[in-house]
Amino acid sequence: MTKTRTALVGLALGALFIAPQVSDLASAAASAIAGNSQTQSISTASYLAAPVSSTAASNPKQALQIQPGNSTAAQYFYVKSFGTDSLTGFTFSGTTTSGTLTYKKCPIGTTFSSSTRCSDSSTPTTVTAGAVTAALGTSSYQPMSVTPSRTNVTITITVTINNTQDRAAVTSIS
Amino acid sequence: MLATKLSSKVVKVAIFATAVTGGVTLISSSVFASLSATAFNTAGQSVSVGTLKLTQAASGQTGLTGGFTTAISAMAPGDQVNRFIDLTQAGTLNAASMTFKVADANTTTLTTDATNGLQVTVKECTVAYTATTGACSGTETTALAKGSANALLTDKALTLIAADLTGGASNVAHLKIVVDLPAGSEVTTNGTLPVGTVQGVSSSLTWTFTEAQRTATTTQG
Repeated sequence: MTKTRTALVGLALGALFIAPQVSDLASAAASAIAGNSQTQSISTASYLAAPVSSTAASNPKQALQIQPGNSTAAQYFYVKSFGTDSLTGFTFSGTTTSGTLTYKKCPIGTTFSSSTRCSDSSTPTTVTAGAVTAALGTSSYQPMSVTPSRTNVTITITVTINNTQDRAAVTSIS
Repeated sequence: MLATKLSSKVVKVAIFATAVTGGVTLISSSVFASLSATAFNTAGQSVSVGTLKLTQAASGQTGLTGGFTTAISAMAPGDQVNRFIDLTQAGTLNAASMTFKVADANTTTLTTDATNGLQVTVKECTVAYTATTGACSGTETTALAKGSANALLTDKALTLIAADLTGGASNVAHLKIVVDLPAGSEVTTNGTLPVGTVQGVSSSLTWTFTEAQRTATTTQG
């Protein structure tokens, strides 16, 4: 019994002594490393747009609610780009608590002078809810109007951007 | 008379003791008297160790000098950025294998999202990539198939042209690192980015190549 215990203690001590030597041998193989000493920054752009009530508005990060009150006159709003990428278009939708909605737009960079006239003297174009083609640079905006068919309604305008409405993808070599 | 006898005995004992001591001393001395011989090389034998040296630098070709230190900015989904790297094997030992990995010091979805984050491919050209256009006028091979940067956070084997792992000369592997941001299907609503977006983020990447020495050998002779 004593001999067995002594042998086991000897084996353990031997393992403790030998193991580090084996480990040292294994890690003695040479290797070489090369890499960039300064990290490389990689950043991404963003495509964002939102409906706002004025051209100077900051990003509301929410839908636009319009309450015309006792009127069925055209209500004006803007779809403004807040991302870092330019856009090729946007998708909008509108809901109303009652009745129907009709939409018009003026050229980018102009404003509505009246419900039938843009600030560049052109005539507003009728559009339907859905995808709209519009080349919107950062902070540029698309003037739009929405006309309710009934009074005392609440109109909610929502704008979305998908990746196909972001600027075209590019391949860069530098 | 008695005194004379005692004196005679003492003398005898002394003589005996001296004889024994002398004998033992003689025997002991004879042990160290054995001969020995030594042989050695008179001129020192040179034993030298090879070297394994690996360096990376941006391609020196005009228009392709972005490398890993020039930032990549404002990538949009669907964009691809190619960076050209010269990997130089300047040691005397052959390398047995090469691995490649990336580390992100500023973790974002670019390296945590394996699907929508960055995708990386490594191509190798037998000659330097053409200036300005980045085309390969020689033979181009895929050293690393397209995979996510997330997967590349751990070492991945890089399949280089064998000659570019050979030591003894400044063998240069001409590499094109292709970085893609997948087109994805993100939709932003009313000026708000979706959760887990890859838009508007910035990562800080360190790209690392590691090579191991050739297999150790036992030489006879």
